[in-house]
Amino acid sequence: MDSDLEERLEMVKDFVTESRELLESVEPRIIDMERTATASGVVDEEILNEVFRLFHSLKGTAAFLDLQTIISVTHEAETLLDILRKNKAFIKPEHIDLLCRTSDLIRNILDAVERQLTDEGFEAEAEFIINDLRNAINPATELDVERPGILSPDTDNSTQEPDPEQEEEYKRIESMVARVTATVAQPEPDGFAEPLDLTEMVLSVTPEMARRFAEETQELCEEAEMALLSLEKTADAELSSQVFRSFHSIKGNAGFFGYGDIENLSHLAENVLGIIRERNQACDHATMSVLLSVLDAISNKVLSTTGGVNQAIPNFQQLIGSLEKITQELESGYVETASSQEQDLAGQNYDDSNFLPERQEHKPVAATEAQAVISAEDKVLPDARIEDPGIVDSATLQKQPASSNVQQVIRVDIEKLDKLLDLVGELVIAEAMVTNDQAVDVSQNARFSKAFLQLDKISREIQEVAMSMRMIPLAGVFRRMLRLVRDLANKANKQVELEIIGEDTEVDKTIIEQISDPLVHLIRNAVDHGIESVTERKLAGKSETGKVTIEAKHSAGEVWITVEDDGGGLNREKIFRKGVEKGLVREEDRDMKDEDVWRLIFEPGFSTAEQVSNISGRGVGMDVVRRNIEKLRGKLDIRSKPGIGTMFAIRIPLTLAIIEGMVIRVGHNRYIIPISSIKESFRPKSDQITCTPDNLEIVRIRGELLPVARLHELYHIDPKHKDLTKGILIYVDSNDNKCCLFVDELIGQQQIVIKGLPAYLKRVRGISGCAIMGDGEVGMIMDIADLVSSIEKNAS
Amino acid sequence: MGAREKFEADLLEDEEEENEDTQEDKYLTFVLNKEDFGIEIRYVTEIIGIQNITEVPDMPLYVKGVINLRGKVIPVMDVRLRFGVEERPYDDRTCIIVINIDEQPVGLIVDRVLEVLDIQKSEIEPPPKMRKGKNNKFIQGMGKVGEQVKILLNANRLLFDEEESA
Repeated sequence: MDSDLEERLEMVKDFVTESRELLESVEPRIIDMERTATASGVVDEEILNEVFRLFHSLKGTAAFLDLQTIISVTHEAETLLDILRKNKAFIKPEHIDLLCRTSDLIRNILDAVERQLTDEGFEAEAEFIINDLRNAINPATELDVERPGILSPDTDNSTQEPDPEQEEEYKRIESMVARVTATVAQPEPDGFAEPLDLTEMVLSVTPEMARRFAEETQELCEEAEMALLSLEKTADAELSSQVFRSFHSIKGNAGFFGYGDIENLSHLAENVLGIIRERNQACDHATMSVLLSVLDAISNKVLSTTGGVNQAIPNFQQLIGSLEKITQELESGYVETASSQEQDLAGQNYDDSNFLPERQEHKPVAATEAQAVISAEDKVLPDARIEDPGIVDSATLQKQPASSNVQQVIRVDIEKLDKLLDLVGELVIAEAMVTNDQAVDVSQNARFSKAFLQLDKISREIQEVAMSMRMIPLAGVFRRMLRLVRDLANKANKQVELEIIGEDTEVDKTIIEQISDPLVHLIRNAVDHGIESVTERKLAGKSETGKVTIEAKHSAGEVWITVEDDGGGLNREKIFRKGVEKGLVREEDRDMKDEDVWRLIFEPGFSTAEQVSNISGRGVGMDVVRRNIEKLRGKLDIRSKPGIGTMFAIRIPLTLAIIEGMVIRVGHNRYIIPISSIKESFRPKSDQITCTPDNLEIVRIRGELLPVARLHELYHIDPKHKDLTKGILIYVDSNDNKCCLFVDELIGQQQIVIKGLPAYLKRVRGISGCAIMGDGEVGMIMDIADLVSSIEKNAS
Repeated sequence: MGAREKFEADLLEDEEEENEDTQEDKYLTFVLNKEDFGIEIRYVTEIIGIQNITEVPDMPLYVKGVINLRGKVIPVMDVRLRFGVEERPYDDRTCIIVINIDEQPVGLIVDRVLEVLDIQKSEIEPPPKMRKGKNNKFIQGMGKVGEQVKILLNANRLLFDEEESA
């Protein structure tokens, strides 16, 4: 019972992750669908099919777990898509809305499934959408192209009982699920029992899909093989279920792609395993050999499909025969002695290996696969290789060039990566400890210093590699914006197109997590405030469709993300007025630089919108943008030209864990200032300093006047120097928060591994984190922007 | 599950139970300003000697700063200052008791550490009802050990009670 529950838990977890991925890929496609439809009047068939398939896969997996709400919703969506496929000109924006809503609902259901293991509680919502979907379907089936008054989501609140026809459909699905899970030996292989036209589907299989199919099937084969091998030793219901599931999934996939032979084979294998599982017995040697050969045959066949060749499985009939025989024997309760079966297979496998070199001409086989084949042969016929090693060798050789089929990606637990990163951090600290130790005087020994340089180089490289392992492409985040732009544009009654550039750009996982919200706000602003209405655009002589571009690229240790629109640009006068009104700037500042004016919009509560709409206007968004980007130690620049557009450029350092820092000392305390915040440091002469009546010291440096902040006063430390001309002034500037910090002395520049402040301390003014110094003590890392703004706040 | 794994699982379970058993009613006792105090042993992760402390700005007086404990930065609190007792220069008997509550390790600076004592629940009296000052809230109970009395502290309040002690 426990293991059952565990198994289900695991399956549900897999299902949820997989389905979320599916949903992520379906949304951009739905949007694409609309775009092609509006561009050419006809929806692109390929995209339509892809959306269809994605919903279909969702339904399939949901059926396996008996998640009725998802099944019914996806089914309805499928029906709608099917109709659209037959009648391509029919597509309407409402349809797209519906599909988007469907995917939203499924996402919500998935969240619930993850928490409570069932999809109950969404019936009402599901029915609502199903209703809408059906309303869309009905006129569609009647080919009523004009179709007046399709119910829009906002106006239709009535719910309808499911009609009898639909009930029947549910029953059919239910019975299918029952059939699938009951594992009864079925007389004829019937694949996935789906109502769709398979031949039509197969025609539209893209190479990309075929590749994914092959990869997935290979993975399944490998899993099944592993489980089978352990099953040989002990009876284990869980393992046999696992193999069963693998075969079942293979069958489903193959059926979907129209590979009848794989479908047949896996179906028969499934029967065998069904019996084994029911009786909870170990898999005897003979059965095992057959099953392993089946797996090999499937994975070979699948590999051939990636080359676009649909080749017959050479010993297909033989395998089918053996499987049927085993099923019969198992059913009659008689298990043939291993030896005769084995001989049977031995011969067959030997034939098979004779086939190998010839087959390779058409069939690229991955190196790992080759090993799998060999190991399977090993088991069945240990001396085949010894007898004729040439066969295998030549086979292996020919398999080499096809190594592109090998799984090049492995999944690693994020915790392991974080641990590795931590260790790398420790390594950097330890290295600093060694190199800074007074016992070693690097300058005295050339060989020694060379070795240190080498060590430094290697540890930096390790650091880079470790960081890069946490990097993921921005594509996921960017693609979500497609949907956003579409929804926003519809709401605002504008025509907006989103262009995505550089979605392959990889950034640290933390950046992905933090960047999503700012992007949403920036894009909202661009669509809501930036892009003008259609009429305004026409008047301005622009194309009716506005354009928003998001772009990502790497540049000198930073990642740049820009959000650009070709709208009306920021209104300098309006922003400035508002700034005066809010007391952020004074009337006299009228001539301030554009950039400084733009910066005002990041102030909390700043909004020039006369009316608060449900999209924007409360003045919260830009504040979120600024905060999140500051959290990532990023910078934000705005460029805007009236009538041409606005560009927000976000620059974020690639590594978040390690910075170059300047270590300074005040009294007994050491602080670290990020090098990126330091402009220069100097010892002032007394004539450079002016003192205001409030005793605020102002230092003049090349025509600029900067306030002096005495760190010892700010942090109540007993300093070595109180005389400005004896200590050091550091000109710091972070996000235009400028001042001169007065400290006792500079200790030196070094690489700093950032550690968060202990949670117990909560937030500390002007401190962003801490670091372990070369001597093992702790140093505080300063957050210049926070420090300066806190001083300014105190003053006012 | 094979027999071997099963045995191991059983063993592990036993061990856990034992751990819980052994932690019950045990207190780490320490001296602070001539009085003996105790803290439940289940909170204590380790005891280390005093080491260099890095000051953190803007902290309440009793939070002395942070230390590096094998690569981890943990805050340390001077329990004397927490009680509003005058500071005393650290010496070689001054210890830091590292306790861990809600995954938050904090070091407690005490004059010196004594021993681990078994104090049965029956031997613990509630905190005195009569109040004098603000420190009563930190007391969980008064443990009687022979002729002596140990003041048993409420670790949670010690760490997280926000109100400033005088």
